[in-house]
Amino acid sequence: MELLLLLAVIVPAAGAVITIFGMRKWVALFCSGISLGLLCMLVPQAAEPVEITYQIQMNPLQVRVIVDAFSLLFALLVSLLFLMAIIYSRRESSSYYFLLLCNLAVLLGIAFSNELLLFYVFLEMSAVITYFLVIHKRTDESIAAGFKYLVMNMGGAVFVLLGILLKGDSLGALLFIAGCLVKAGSFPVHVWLADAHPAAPSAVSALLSGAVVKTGVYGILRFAPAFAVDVSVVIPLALASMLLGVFLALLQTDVKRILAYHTISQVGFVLLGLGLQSTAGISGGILHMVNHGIFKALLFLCMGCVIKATGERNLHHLGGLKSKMPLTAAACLIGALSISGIPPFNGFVSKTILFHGVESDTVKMLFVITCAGTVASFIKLFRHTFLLNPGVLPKKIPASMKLPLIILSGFCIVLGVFPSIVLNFTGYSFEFQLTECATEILVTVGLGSAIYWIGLKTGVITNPPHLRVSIDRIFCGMGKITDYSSSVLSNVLTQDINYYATYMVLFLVLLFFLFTL
Amino acid sequence: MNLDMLTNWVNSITVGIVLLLIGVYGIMTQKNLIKIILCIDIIFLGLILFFVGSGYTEGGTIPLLGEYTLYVDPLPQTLMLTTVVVELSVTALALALVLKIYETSKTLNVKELES
Amino acid sequence: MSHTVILLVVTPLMTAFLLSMTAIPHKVAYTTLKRIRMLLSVSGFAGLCVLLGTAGPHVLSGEVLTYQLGGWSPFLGIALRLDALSFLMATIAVLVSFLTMFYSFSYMERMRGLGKYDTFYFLMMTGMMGVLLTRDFFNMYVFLEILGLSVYILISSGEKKENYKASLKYLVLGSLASGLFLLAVGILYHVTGSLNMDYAAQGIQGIVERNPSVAALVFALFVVSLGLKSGVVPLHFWLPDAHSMAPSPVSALLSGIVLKITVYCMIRVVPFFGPQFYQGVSPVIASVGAATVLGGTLLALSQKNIKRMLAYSSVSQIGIIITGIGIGTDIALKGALFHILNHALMKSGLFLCAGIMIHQSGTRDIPHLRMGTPGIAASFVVFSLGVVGIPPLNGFVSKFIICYGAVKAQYDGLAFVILIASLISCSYYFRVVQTFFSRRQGEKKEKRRKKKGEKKENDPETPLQLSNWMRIPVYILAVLCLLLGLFPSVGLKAVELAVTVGGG
Repeated sequence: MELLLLLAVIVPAAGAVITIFGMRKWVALFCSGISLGLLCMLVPQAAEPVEITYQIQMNPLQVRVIVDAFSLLFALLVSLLFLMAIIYSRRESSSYYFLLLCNLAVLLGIAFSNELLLFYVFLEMSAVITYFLVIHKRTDESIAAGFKYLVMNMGGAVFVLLGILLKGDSLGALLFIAGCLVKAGSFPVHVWLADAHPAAPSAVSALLSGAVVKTGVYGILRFAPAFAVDVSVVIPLALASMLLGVFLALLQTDVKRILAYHTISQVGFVLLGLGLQSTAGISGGILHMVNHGIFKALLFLCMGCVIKATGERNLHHLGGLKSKMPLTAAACLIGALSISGIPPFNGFVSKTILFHGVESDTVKMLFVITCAGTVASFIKLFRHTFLLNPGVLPKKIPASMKLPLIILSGFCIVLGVFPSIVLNFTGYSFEFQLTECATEILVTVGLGSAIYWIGLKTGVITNPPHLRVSIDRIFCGMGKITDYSSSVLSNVLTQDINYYATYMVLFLVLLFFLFTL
Repeated sequence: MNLDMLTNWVNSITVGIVLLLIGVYGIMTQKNLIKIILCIDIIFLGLILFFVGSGYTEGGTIPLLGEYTLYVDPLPQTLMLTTVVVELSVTALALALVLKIYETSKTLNVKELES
Repeated sequence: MSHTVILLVVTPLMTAFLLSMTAIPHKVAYTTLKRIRMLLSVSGFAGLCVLLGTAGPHVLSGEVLTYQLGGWSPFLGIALRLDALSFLMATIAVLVSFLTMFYSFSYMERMRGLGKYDTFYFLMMTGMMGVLLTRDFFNMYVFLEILGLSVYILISSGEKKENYKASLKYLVLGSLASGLFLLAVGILYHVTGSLNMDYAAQGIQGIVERNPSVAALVFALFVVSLGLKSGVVPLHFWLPDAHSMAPSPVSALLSGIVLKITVYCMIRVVPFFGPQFYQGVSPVIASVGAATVLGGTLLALSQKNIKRMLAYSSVSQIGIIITGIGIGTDIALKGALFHILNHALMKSGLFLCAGIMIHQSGTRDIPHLRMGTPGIAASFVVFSLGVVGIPPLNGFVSKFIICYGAVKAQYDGLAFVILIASLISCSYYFRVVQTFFSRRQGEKKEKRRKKKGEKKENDPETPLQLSNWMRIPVYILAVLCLLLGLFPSVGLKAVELAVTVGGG
């Protein structure tokens, strides 16, 4: 069992090294496939969690590994998504597969680590590797987005480390959670998501939303008990993310930005589940984490196909692709239905569990409003891309890009009909009948359509207003203040020798007085 | 009586400290490069006086081993020989650099050189 | 008495002397002369390596090698001592200088008077070895001056206006600092009657009790003088000029080793006054360190010149080391020493890379740097990740240990400051990395400038062929950084020994 685990993590890393020398895509496919297979073989282990401590030669870091339901679930999700992304990708440029495989190895490391410092190590490595993936297209937009991504995620990682260092304090717990929230893209620190997803190549966006963002959530899930903190502090932030994400998504015209804002919203759902801390809440949250990974990756890859075929990211220049790209349209429809929470797809299961795990009525209402907003937004997305009058004409796209769409749609359906596959991991059984939930579904769909119709009529959909207040400004502002203070400082301090000598004498006197105390 | 007290205080150590302070003040205020280098020299001179003075024992004579019992401490004097040599080389280097700077910038004013 | 210790100081001195003979105008052909110089340099370093190698096993098993100059007993004479701490620093110094020397074989190719450069290179090594090995305060002053003089000359070996100005600024401030150091030594001698560190330590305890202001004065003088030479914040002003205007290998040496030598002096001096005194001054030194960290990072943020940015980053990292020394616990000292090792490797690598990149882009401005060879760019990324403190590189390990030590010693704010500084440094290092990738933009700007007929920034480093001499040291340093990051125990064990044997 140990061997399987080690191989599952090391094979991608070794593959990464081999890609430096050539045969990139096949090596990548091979390695991620093997990794996934090995992890599947480990599944029976979920019933009896095992903790192993490794001692790496000459490294004092405690490598404590845990193989239990949660880690296996996360690891399986990650390796599945990476496999799909690798099948989808067509880039042959130098570092792409290398970075993908490294990232896979590191994320698997995050999945299985049981030691705070080890988690932090892998978290940082993943942030840096993902940065290089985000800027892969080398355009100005990518580089700016990548920079914002890096600085904010580094900030998050710094908070995580501070939290780890100050572990006994309650401040430490809050810092740790704050850091993980940055990584997850929750409400106040979500701004990097909106820029990073559109700028990255589509496969990378799919992975970002599907896997990388989940590391933050996973961190809170795994390590919150170690900090003895009440996780329900995240609930207000989760609610804000849910609402804000949907609201902002309705105002976007860039296809990938819409999906990015929806990630913020859906991660809000997951955090809500974690914050509730009941079995229903946690299972719902975890299931939604898995589901969201799958259907968001599906949606990103679909949109990637669309963008590849038409070269357009703007919603209003697209249209009428249903006839030319039927497979993509069908996959996108499945993804849209999943994310909206319509049975029999997987989103329905997790959202219902979460809905019934919530106790307060206001929260339930906010939940429904968010779902309605999601429905509205995806009506908009699907309609403007695939229905309506034709916009740009699509070119043909290769079969390798369509294969992951089929596989992921399959998972959406399978997990929707047989949710116990995943729920067995969390020890919860889904016992809701369709009829029980019919009211909620109908209300959501109705409200959603209404919102969309209102949006159309008021022209918000076609001509979105430009928001003047945004959190993005706050973070850019912080950056600007730092820059400004830096230049002020450097102007003030650059003088000539006389001043330097004066500073020296003053410093000497100061130190003398301080030392005599 | 006042002159007596004053002469008690005017020994090598205090003169050394005063020179040191003058030199430091000079580096803080002088604009001409050559004057700044001179001030470095003044600082070192002050230090040398301080050291030599600190080795003085009351009523001591020349430090010859075996000949005299009460002698002035020779160690600071030897150290100061080394110091003088070091300071000499530093000053020489500084003046060479100043020459080169003057060659290229045609000015010895610290403020002008900074811009 | 083992002669290894004195040979460590004498070997570079002799090599310098022999090299200076080659600088005299001869009728010998230039290429043969060059080969002779290279041979001499390499054999000088080989000698040093052999000496360190023979001393190594003894020192690393806890033994301490001493040598009395001229046979005089330590009270009267000068004692040299090679213990784990000195050995660690000496190894770092020799390693980095050796690699930089290979780099400078090709880099300083077109500098006239190469004999001068090599001679003072070895004189600098002599100064370094002397400072590291000596147990006598005045001897430390003399070797610090030797080190300083050689460095001033090395900085000015670029032979351009800014080299001379930077060198002079460093000279004036450095001499001022040396003067203060000498004053401290003088007062110490006056008060304790001996110049030897071990003997004076016995005397100083009494002084700390009876006359604390004198002890405070001496300590303040030591801290200010050594701090200026190390680049602590209110005293760092010479650093950006000196490090950025110097030729790249000299910058690498300066940032990588010379700063650390004076930090080593601080490590020797600070516990010298006794544990109680140390505890008393801890907060002050730690806050000075914190101020340096913040000041350095903030100032680096607005720099357009890549070498100035790296110089300010050095200031910041030295601040981290000083913070570690200030905290004073064993863990923090271990972290500080390990960071000395790591930063020496990383910063010299960064400066060497910067030199290559400046060569290939013809400019020092960050927005206009071109990537050059991918290997060098990758090494730059490795070194930057290390300085920022990202696993699995060595910088992370040492920063973490220092932060851990800070938190353990109730200095939570320090850990916060260090990590925030890491965040800010991430942004300016990755700004440079970014420019590697916006190739299209860089080339467009280049074309525009050529069209306007603008003269490129008058730069001593005109484009040069990238030779293996320049590349291989960079790669070696990058690999070392990675290895130390993945397997830090090697470094940690050495550092632990150094702390227990040498530290307070």
